[in-house]
Amino acid sequence: MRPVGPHGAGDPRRTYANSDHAALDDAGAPVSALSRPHSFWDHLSATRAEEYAQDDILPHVLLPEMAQDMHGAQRLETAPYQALDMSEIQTASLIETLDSSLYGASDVEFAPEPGAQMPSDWSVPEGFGQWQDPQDHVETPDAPFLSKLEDRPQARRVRSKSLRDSRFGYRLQRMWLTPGYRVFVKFGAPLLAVMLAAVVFFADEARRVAITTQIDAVYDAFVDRPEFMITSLDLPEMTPELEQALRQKLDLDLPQSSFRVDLDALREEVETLDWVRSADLRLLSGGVIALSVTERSPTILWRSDEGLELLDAEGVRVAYVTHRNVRSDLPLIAGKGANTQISEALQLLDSASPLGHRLRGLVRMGERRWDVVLDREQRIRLPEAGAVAALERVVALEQAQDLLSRDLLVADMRNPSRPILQISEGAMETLRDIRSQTMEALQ
Amino acid sequence: MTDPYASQRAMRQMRRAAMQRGVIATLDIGTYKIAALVLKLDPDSSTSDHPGIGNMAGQAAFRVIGAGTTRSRGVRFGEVSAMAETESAIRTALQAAQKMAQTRVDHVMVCLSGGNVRSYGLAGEVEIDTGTVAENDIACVMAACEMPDFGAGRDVLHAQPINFALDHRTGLSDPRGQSGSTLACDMHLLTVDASLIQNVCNCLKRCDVELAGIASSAYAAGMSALVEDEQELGAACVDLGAGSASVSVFIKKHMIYADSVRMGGAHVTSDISKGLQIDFSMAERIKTVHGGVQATSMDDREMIALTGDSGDWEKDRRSVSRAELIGIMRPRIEEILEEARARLDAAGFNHLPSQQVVLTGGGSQVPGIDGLAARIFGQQVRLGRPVRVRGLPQAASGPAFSSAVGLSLLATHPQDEWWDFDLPVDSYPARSLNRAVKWFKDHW
Repeated sequence: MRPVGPHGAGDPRRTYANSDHAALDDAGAPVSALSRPHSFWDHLSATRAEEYAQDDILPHVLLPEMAQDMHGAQRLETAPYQALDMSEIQTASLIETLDSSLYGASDVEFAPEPGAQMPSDWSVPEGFGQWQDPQDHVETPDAPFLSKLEDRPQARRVRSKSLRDSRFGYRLQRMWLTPGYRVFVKFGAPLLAVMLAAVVFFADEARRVAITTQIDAVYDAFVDRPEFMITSLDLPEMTPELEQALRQKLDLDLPQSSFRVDLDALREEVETLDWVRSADLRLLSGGVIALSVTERSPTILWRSDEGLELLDAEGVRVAYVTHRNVRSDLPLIAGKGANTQISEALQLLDSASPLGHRLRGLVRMGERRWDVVLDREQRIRLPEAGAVAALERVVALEQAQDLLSRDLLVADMRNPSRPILQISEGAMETLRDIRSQTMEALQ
Repeated sequence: MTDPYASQRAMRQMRRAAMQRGVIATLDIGTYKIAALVLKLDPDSSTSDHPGIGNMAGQAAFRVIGAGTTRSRGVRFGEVSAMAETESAIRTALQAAQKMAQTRVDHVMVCLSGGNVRSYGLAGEVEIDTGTVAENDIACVMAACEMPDFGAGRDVLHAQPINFALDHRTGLSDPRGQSGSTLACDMHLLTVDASLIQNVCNCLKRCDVELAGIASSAYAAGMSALVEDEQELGAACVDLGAGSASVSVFIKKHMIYADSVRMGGAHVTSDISKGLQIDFSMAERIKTVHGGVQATSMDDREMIALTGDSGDWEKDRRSVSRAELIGIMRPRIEEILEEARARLDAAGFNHLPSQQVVLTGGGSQVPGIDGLAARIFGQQVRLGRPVRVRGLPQAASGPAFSSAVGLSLLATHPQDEWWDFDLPVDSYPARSLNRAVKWFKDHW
């Protein structure tokens, strides 16, 4: 199947006679030398515009040709070609129409003429109402919309002609339509400019200082308002020494703004005091700062290398004491590491209570076990484990046989299965005497 | 433009790049107007997996987002005559289209009506060794088509395989995978003046855009003005432009012949201008407003004012009857149509099963031209308009825009051309081995 037969187009016998003929006519020459008194678009696609105006599948580019043609078509029965005569009408070309649709056609107001009326038997698509039939208004040349119609395309054409035809304008437009460039110009460049201006402005030391002082002044003016001022410190009932220490520690130069007081830091500072177990600071209305303190209660005196200290039941130091007689009501312990075993010491002291005033105190030996020290240099050496039981044994012996009232130096209970009593030199001699006397009496 | 195969492949590559970017422009460089359309390609519908060309005859794959038209400058008979003028007009059209689309276009497809298109029918035949037609065999059979001597200074514009025959079966559109021993191919080759293509390339290069393809406007107009069954059954499309009337013949959805008559609407205008002694723009205007080809008695009474501003009162207030105008227009239009008929006859159009002729282009808007054409071409004549494309402005949907719209169809659904197939590879090693043997024989 090859319809391009032997007589095909490539046949050399077929000379293109018509091309010569057409060239002789020289008809093409004026095309490039045309002036344009009328719009280029007046006639293109005007023939079937009415047919397509009813369709709405296309974004409507509202062309004046369509409106004219619609009105013209109605008059076609009477004057078939007068209706299409557009010699008096200046209409916008496609490009101008697009321009106006892109940049808002609102600058050209087409106020409906009071005298003009649309044909009643026509279903006119929306938007066509604003286009008046120019034929109706040819007689009234001072109609506002007509004069505007005449002015507008001419002015726009003159303005954009130079840009539109130049290569520079073309390149400029292409550059502007490049997305990256567009984003840069719209957002990047302004941002850059603002940042640069800020950098230049703040490069000067004096300006920075001026701005910071101004900011500070505004801040102070706000913060130092009387509503935010703290006027008094509310302390609960407590030991006078502690209260004095607290007042020294807090050292708020009242009145002061609550913005400048850091309650957390203040609380931690209060809790650094030995006497304070925990503190609670709160800001009350009326400019009052309230402090509640849980004190540590001193339960025992501990004599260490560093001096005499008051300890609470957990072994935490409450205060230093200069002399034992300051708190003669508290029991005394001594020895390195004694403060870590306060609970055992308290148990031992409880067990030793029958010894009464003879008890001097407890001594921690080698951070391992306890010695009970009585007056007259008597000592009870207790074992590492089961110290309370051993002490209770000694106390029972004392109560039964007055063990400690005798001339005893040391009751060594370190080995529970073999308690040892160390007696003084005189008692030893007396014992020897008694033994010898009994031996003699027996002999 | 030294090697048509390589340069056309490069243009196809550009088209592919444009597809990926999603925006491509089509440019119809005519004698009277230059039309530019900016297409936004819709990737969803173009890569649909269902067979066939898809929704809305494949037009759903793109949308026109910008249209710009300007009066053509520096173009005669569809050919570039003043390069700087043409370049400026192209820029104007592209600029307007880009402005409407609000996007920048870097790839442009162009269609041309001038350049003395010549059509050749080629045939090639190869033996198939494997017994099954493979991709490479298609390339082989197309390479086997004997290239005619179309002369120096001509370039191949289209080279489309239009028919494949496998053994005794013909009319195959896609023989791949079928079994047979002899594969034959008919190819339609269209050549134009190389200088025209070169000029257009230079113009577009100076407009900072890449050329993504060139098509003949006869082909593009046929693609958009003929409906599908006309393309299938056989029809001729006569695109009556301003500078030239392009003729293309379609059958089985392939263009099998294209030619152009170097006369058009501008000659009609020129006749009016000369005959009535008026300036060219006035002649153009009364041609489009009052023109016709069939005079009636009413036309004797309808007077057309020939206004002007020459300063001569008598000259500026002449008038002419419409019958006189028709008397000037009709012979020229008849001449153009008869010339087109002669081209169709030369191509053997009267042997086709269907004798449908479709008139399109700006010249087909003359009232009554269908009646005149029916006398010349036969009874099956109709006026064609381009297919409706999504987003096409109302103003750009007339018959004058057939080739611009057809080109946008081609941009999204291009016809397979010779350069879409790789060069046959198997012949190369054998040839080089032979050369090596020959070299040894010669030198030892």
